[in-house]
Amino acid sequence: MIRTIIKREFLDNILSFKFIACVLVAIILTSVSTVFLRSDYLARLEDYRTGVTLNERNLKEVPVYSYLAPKVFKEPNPLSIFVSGIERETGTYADINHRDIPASLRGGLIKNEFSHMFSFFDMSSVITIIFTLLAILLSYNAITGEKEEGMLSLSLANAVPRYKILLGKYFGILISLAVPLALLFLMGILIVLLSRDIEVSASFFFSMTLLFGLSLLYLSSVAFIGLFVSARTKKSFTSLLVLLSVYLITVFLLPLAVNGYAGRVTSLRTRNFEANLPSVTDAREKAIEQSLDKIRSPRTWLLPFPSRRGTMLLKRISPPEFLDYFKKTVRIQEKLMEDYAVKIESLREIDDAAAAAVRRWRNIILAMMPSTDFTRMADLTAETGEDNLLLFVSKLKTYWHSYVHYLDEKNAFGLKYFYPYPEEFTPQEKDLIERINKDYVEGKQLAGYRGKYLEEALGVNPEVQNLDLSGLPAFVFHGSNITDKIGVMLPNILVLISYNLVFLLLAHFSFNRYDPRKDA
Amino acid sequence: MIKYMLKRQVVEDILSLTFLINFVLILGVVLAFSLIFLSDYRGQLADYAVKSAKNERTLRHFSEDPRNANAYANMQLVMKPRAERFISLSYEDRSPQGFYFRMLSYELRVLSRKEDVSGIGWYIPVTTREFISPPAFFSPDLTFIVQFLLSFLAVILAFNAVTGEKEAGTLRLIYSNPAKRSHLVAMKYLSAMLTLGLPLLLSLIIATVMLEVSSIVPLASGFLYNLMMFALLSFLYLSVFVLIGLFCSTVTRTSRHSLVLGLLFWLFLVVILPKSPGLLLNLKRFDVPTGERIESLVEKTSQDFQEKYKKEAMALRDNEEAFMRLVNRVGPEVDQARQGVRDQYLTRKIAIVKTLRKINMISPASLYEYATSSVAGTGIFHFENFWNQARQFGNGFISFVKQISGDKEPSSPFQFDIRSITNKPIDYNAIPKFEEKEIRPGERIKEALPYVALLALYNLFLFTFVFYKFGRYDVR
Repeated sequence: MIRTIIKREFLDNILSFKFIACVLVAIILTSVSTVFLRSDYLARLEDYRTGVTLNERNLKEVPVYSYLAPKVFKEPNPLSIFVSGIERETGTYADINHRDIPASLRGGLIKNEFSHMFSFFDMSSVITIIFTLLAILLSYNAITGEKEEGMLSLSLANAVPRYKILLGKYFGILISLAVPLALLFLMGILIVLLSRDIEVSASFFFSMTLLFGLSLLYLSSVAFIGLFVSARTKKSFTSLLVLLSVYLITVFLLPLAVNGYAGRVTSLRTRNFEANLPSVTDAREKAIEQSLDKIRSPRTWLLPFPSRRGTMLLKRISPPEFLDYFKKTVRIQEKLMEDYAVKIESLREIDDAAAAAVRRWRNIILAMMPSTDFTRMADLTAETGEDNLLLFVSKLKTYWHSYVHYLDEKNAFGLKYFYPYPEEFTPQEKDLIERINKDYVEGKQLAGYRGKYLEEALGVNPEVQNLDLSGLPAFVFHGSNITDKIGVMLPNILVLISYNLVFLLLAHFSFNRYDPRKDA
Repeated sequence: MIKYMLKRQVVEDILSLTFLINFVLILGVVLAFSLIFLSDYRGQLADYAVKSAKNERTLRHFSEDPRNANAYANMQLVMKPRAERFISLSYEDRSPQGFYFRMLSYELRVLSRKEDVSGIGWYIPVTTREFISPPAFFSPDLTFIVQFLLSFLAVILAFNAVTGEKEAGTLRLIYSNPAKRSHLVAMKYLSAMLTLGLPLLLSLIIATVMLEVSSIVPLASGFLYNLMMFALLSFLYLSVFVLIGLFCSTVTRTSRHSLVLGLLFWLFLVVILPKSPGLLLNLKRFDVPTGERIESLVEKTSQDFQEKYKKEAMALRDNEEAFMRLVNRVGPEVDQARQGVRDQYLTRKIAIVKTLRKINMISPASLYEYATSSVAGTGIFHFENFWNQARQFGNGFISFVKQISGDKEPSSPFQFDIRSITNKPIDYNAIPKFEEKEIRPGERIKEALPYVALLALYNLFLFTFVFYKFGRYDVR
């Protein structure tokens, strides 16, 4: 019997105008967005690959540690084609540098800052916006509609238990939702598979399956809510009105208000870094100054911080006591920079903790609503949400510590910091040194030296030996595996399951007391 | 007769459950948004005050001895937060905040939201400490309430105007009275508009009272004028959705079909269409380089100049005086070329968004959004105007520096020769200061005019269609 009801319900649904219209809109929107987001993904993948190769090439040609500037890239996830999340707004790479612990990514992908008025559609938003509406439209008159047409009394007269009618309706709706949803997923996967440049692994299919299951779980809870409201109301119109209000509130309004409010609270509570940064940097400057005061500085005729190759060459031909002084100061200064990076980070940690507290509350509030539950789970599955970014940044911090440990171990701020050339001077260099020292002793104006010996010094080209960086720790980020992901989203899954159960029971009890008479 | 019918309809609408639910919803949203806006606005004002104070300090320092200003001395020209943001925020909280102006060169760089210049001149992207909210579909302002919620209510109020009467059997009854069909439609339309006017009026009153009570927003007559213009625009916009509801009612047989059709129209016109053009940003045609890439192109311009003048500079390397003369001559040229690259891409970005906005003009919701943003003087229109003002100020400042330096020109920041500037103290009051001027109401209305005209056309078209269709409606 139940099979007949499901079949009838299913056929009724898929032949209705609302079903065809919604599914058509969903298919058009998903295919268009998937095609566009696919090309966007490919562009990001290309950026990622060129970035990584460039970084590797750069690391092979590092003569001194001051040249060492590794970059860490975040690999785009193929699932971002379907769930774009915040990945496009948060940046793609981080610079690793002993002076500062990376707290964020650079190279944001919102290229056009004025485009915020068009937010992006992807498959997950098609599910939350259009499929939710479809689920509501299919379920709002499941019971009231039957009653209005007088069919309900007829069905009940056939000695069909009420729970069977309810379950039949439910499964009919669920199948009518699952079929177009499966179609969308297959279409999406096909578009990805047909593009040769995208390599997909087994985890891609796992994640897509998981996403499909979660979507169905979410839509099922919407269907149960619809059935419950339908079983509580006398008129279809009232039922639809209540459901649409819930739709507007949970899909559009509350996420906007909760996220907006949480954002504002966070920005008010995370002022510690900005407020205290100047004092810490002042303290750093003072500490550097104090420790440098202890070393007797020789009379120098060059700026203490060379950065260009030309000045570096001149450095080689500067007086030996200066070089000695220079090595000492660099070691002290850079070491202090490194120490203070940790102190600056501790300022950030206070803010991060405050932000995490707000985030926790926001997550709890958002977990109350099925639509936001689904959004979060989709973000977690596709690894494009906030959780993934925070995980990446925390990995970055761990990496920074191992990087700095490596530098300390190699005594990087010592001899090999600014000084790429062999100890022995070439005859030309000896000659140059002699001439410069002569000028220097004679007390000629230093400003007049701009470029005097530069060309000559540039002509001297001792062989540069690149550093052996084989011991440099590598940054590895694989995201989280599927069991971890499910572990994180477990509360959301439980909330959705309880939504399903509670509304199943509520719908059941309400329907049991439902007055099937047409005029009631 | 028509007066009597109208009265009946309005009373019926106002007492209906639909209206009640939506009314409560709208009131709640207006209250919540007012609170969010006020806390937000307070923060924005505080930030603005901090930045203004910093600018003033910089200028005082500069006035004591112009040579205090080194090559990196800068001011942050940021947009003044305006109460009009409550009428239409137009994503101003997510778009660029203003410009970073290097005082001794032509450099005017966009200051985006995620960028913060701290006291020591570092650039700190504040992404992780900041709360990263997902891309918002809408922003919390009065425009959203009308564009999204009231339009929904409009469809709900009008969808069963004709089909409902038919189903209840009252349509034939009405016809048996000497009432014209056109009167009936006009009455339905007017009653829906009157019913919608109530929540609209109330939300405007609440908003005004909230802003007044908070006392952080001085309610000038300008704001009230903008609010009035906003109310007029809202009526024009809501009229479209009432007509769409009536349209659905006249083209369908049953209320149920009419409602589904109306909802789909609403979803398509309010949610899907205004937001989809963003996907086109992935096309090659609408592609722009990232901010970092643009800055590296700017650097490349400098390097090109260095290549170009390398020989000349090498020849002068022993003659300090002549070398500095060369630097002073080429410097401004380099600055202008660098600024040219930035300006070119900024212009392009704005042009792209404007093109995409044109696609959106099919949707009345977008037309309304752009019209209110023009009337309130916010959004991209505001930014363009601000950019002009910042440019004018920048040029004025540079010519002021030239004027105080006599015949010597200040040079580029990268090969900066501070000696080209005077070291005598200057009168602080004589230094040009940046003060953002509001856009004149006339200009704002001129900007809004095309959108308003299109909205009116929409209305006209739907009105004739509904009248025509209803004239032939089968009342049985």
